Amino acid sequence: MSREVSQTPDINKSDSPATETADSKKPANYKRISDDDLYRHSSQFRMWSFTEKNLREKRKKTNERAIGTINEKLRKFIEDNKSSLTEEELQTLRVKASPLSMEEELQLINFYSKKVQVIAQHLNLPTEVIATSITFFRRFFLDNSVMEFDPKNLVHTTIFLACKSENYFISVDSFAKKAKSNREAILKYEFKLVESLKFSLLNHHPYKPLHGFFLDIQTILYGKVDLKYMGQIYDRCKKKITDALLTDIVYLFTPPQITLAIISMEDEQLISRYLELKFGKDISNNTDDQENGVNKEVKEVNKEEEGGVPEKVDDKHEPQNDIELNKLLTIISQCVDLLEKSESVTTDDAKRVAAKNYYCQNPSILLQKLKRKLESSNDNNGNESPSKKPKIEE
Amino acid sequence: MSESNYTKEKKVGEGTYAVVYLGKQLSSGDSIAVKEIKTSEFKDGLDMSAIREVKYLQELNHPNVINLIDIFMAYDNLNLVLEFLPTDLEVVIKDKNILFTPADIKSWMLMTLRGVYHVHRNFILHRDLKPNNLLISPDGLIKVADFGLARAVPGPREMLTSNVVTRWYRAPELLFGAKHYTYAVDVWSIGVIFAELMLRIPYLPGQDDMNQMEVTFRALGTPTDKQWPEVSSFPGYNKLQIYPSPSRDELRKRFIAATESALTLMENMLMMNPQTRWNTIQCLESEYFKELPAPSDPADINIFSQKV
Amino acid sequence: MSTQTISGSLDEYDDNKDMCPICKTDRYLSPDLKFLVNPECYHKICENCVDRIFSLGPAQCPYKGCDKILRKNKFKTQVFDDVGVEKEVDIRKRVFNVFNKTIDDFNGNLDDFNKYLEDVEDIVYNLDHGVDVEKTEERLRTYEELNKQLILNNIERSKKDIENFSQRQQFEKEMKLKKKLLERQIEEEDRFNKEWAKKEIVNRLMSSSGNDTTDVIEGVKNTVKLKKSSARRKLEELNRVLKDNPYFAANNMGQNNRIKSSIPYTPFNGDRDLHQRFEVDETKYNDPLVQELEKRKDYIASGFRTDFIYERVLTEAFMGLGCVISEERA
Repeated sequence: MSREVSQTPDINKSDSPATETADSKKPANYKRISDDDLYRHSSQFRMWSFTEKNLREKRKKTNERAIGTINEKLRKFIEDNKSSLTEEELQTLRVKASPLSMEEELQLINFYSKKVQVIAQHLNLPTEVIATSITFFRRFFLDNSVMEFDPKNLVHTTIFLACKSENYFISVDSFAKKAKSNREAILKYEFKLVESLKFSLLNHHPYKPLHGFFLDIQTILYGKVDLKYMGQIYDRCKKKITDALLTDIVYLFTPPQITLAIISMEDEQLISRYLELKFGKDISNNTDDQENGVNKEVKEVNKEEEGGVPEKVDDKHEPQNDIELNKLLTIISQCVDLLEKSESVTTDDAKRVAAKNYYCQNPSILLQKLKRKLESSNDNNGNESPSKKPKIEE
Repeated sequence: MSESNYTKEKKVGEGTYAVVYLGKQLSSGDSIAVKEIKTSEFKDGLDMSAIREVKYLQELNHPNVINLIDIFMAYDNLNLVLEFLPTDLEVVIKDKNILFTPADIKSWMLMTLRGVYHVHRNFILHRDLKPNNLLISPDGLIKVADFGLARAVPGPREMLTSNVVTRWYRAPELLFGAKHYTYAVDVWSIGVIFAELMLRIPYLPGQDDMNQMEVTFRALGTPTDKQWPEVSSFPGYNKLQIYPSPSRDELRKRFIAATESALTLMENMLMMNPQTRWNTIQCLESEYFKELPAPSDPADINIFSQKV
Repeated sequence: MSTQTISGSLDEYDDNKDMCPICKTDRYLSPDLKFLVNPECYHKICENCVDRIFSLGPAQCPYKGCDKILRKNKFKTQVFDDVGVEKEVDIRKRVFNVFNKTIDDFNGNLDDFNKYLEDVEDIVYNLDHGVDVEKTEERLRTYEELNKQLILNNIERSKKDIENFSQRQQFEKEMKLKKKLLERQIEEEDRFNKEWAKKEIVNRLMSSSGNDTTDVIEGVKNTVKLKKSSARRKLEELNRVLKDNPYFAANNMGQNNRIKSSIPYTPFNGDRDLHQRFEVDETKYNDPLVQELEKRKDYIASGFRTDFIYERVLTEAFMGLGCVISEERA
């Protein structure tokens, strides 16, 4: 558990100026922590934020590990049954019992994530609990492969843990009853789940940022926005946030960035007007960047608060143009692009992948099925027995 | 991140849901404490207190909040590896061989408030502040610990249980059964701890929940709608005995060594109305911390019995 | 004390203390007349003359034979009647502002400190009496140059000392008041106890049949002893606090403590965002869901505050807005 926080420069224009005089007057353990730094301290940032490349590598590693195990098992199965296997059976094994690719795994995870959402909604759980369920579920399958843990065995477990973690306690028995499951099945993987979540349980979902921006837009565009319209936007965005949680967006962007992207998908103009007024450079200050920067620094040193002078509290809230607007806009549009690209998995695709996942772990069943198929075609009966197919609910 | 990195040498405590061991981190040789959570005993899977403790400690990183070094699973038990903290404020207050000065009290209050301020800054309510949960490090730092009752600040429509905080440190709104309380409950607890540090005996030691109200209001006055709007809407309010609020002079007599600004801070932390009770920011900015004596350097405070 | 260096040319002017030697205005005639001197030569000139002569810039001293060039802003009111004293005081002030070490700077070594004080006295003497003026000035300048930081620190420190002093006075005043209160309380208790004891003894003697009188009296006295402890205990406690008085302790701990206390108090030790990207302005929000709750009795009584809700969601709206995962987590 590394608690170090990378202090790479962010899109804030001004790094905290560490002039010598300011430093030497501070106690030994003095450390400035901005709200952004606070987010950097969160386990969501430390453990569950990745670049696209890192995310891909992570999935690849998980996938390759599982493939290794499956292939080894298959090899052993073939070797053990070498004498009895026909050429046709070997061929079927090679084609149909092959392990899932990384993309196929992701399809299955996405499909089941949606299922988590539907079931949690069906259980009438609060929005945040649903969001946490989805998040837990998806995080579990970053380090675990669907070939190692059948996703359907984790659906209830993640929802149950999310309930407890979000202070929405339901006893396991009544939960089992409501969810039409049973105690043992729900609790079986709970430890494994918590461990895979790296014991990081607190999530920052974008719902609160949405509420915050809803207020701040009203302030910045005071008198210029229709309040009823704002209410509608708010409701639509809330739904879209839950959809976004079903994608990889949450690993790649921070909640405020995702929120702005989602609002701008609803009303691009609104967001660009808001951000322009909020973070756009004041034209009068635009002329002399250099001097502007210096003044700012001086101001910041003077403001180094806390000498306990109460008058300073007032100017604490003066508007700060600390965000590089263009960079922020770029981030938002990247986020929008990814959100628009994400598409849901069809049930057919999911069924196909689930079947493949099942057969590669259970080659003997695949062979039984082949045998039956051959028999039934000999009997001129084209119906295959549906009972042996892995079930995948709609 | 595994059990093999740590030793458990001595059992130092056992609670309802955990056993605490002293041990060493093998890589560094540092003393550590391992809190082993008896997960197997819970029929609802992982226990809520364990979940809370893990959830919040994972996020908090502050010199005055206990440091979670590591977590691991072993034999189906959850083990929290925590920094080693040899004593706590309750032990220090009770040990009459330990002398402490107003500057020491100020230092402890400062560290406690900074720790709790950080907890609040992260939108977390501690809900069980008491001397026993303010641990002290070998170098004298106060560490806010035990997040088994903590929870995130609720959304506006969520209901909270008022059955939190150890009785003597329970804020009046909790005694009344409030369901939408705020950070103010933690501030009240710190206010009671402050009083206890000055008196060296518990300030509001109620014998049971009913008696707690009696003791609280006898010491600080029964709240009225005037100072605390809608307090009379709580069920049970009408049955209360009415006591007057203590005058400043009465407080001066009770807290004989307290300066005026110490009393001001205490009065505002023990404000009946939770809406106007000071928050941790106001407390930290109070005159008490600016006036002399300056808070003691934590490392200079005696926290162990002095053999005479 | 000799004033020879400036007195030579002074004599002919100095016969009338209340007359400006330049314009000959007399204080008897104009009671508002104020005399100023300039530390360059300490020649007394009235305010009007200073205004007139030096308003346009530096000029030569109007005293006959004095070739000092004087600036208007250096003129000051004469505090001491004797210009010689005035001059020495000024020199001392100037020198001690630079040579401002205290015994703490010598880690309490009295010998070193005394030696240092002697050196400083030499400098004052030299400047006052015109001995090796140039060389001495040079010494002063060099020292100032070399010890700039130390000098500034000590200035800070003496400011603090003054502040500490007044706070300590305040503290002691408060404590004395408390002591008085307690003592009065104890007196009253004593008086009350005496009365009570008298009555009690009479009562008991009347009700007891033939018991030993001395036993009864002893018994009552013991009860009184137990009774009067509360206020006395507090007084003892207070005396203990005064004995351990942190103000005295702080002063005895020397340099280390001083350095620490020169760091300004920082309530949050940096754990606070100084430039939050928002401002809570409840007057501008239309947020029916939250605003509805604000009116509910159970919410009001619980201590519910809409500003807490707003502050929270706004913080979360901007918390992490500036973190770029693709760069920071790369």
